[in-house]
Amino acid sequence: MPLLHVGHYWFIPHPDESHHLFGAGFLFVGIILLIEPLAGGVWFRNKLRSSIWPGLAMFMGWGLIVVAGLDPKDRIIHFTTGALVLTAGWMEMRYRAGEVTRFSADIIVVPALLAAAFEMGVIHARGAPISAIGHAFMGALAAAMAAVRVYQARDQFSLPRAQMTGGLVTTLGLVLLIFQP
Amino acid sequence: MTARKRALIIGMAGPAVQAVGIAWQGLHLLTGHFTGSFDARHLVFEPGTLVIVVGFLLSLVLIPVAFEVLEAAPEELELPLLGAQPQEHEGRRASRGWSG
Repeated sequence: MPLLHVGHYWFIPHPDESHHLFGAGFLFVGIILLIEPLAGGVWFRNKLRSSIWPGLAMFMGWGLIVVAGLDPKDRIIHFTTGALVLTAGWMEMRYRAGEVTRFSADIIVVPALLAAAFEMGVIHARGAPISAIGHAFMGALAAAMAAVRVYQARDQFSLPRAQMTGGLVTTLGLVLLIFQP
Repeated sequence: MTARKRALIIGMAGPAVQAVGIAWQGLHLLTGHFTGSFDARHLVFEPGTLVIVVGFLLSLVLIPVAFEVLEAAPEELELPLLGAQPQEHEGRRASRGWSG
């Protein structure tokens, strides 16, 4: 199905190419999130470095909003999930800057992750079996990230808990790169 | 975990990912394109190529961090308490994630 408004311009990624790009993005972010706790306070000395994760989350949210504009299918869910993810990235950035509490950030971040889980695991879990199963699995990963977010808030000094989100995001990236659901 | 071990893991993460990407792309080229068609656009968006790019970007970010970790004091390697703290409502600042 051709994309709305832009037709077949060479610089617009095809759907399978978009999956690979998003997979690469998630892989990059996932490894950054795995490394952050190892670096501890050193990581947060630099504002730009501290903004990598929330900044990329905001970029991906914006990307979903662009998809809502270009792809005539599932516009409402793409837009709402994109807006939630964009807001969640912004709240995470403010949390890392010390402007809001962890609870205030999680009020947005946890629902955003659950909305992404619903969008991937329920709305997009259709079509060929490999695609349906792959999307359902990615939805489960996003739901697990929401749970881990809450779990990690209970002990913010635990290294294994801090690395759990990174592990899940890395897995998400690898699923998109390898299985291309 | 010692600072040296942390720095080694952090510094080698990028090159390790690049190595995986090179192996992945090499294997794919040998098995998927040995006799078939091939173009530049296809190469750019292939998973192996993208993993190599990710590894390069990770190296750019993480190698300087590895050097900083090597020179940091043990207390600086502890996970900081991020976010606004309740004491700030009374005008006193608790430790923040960003300095300055």
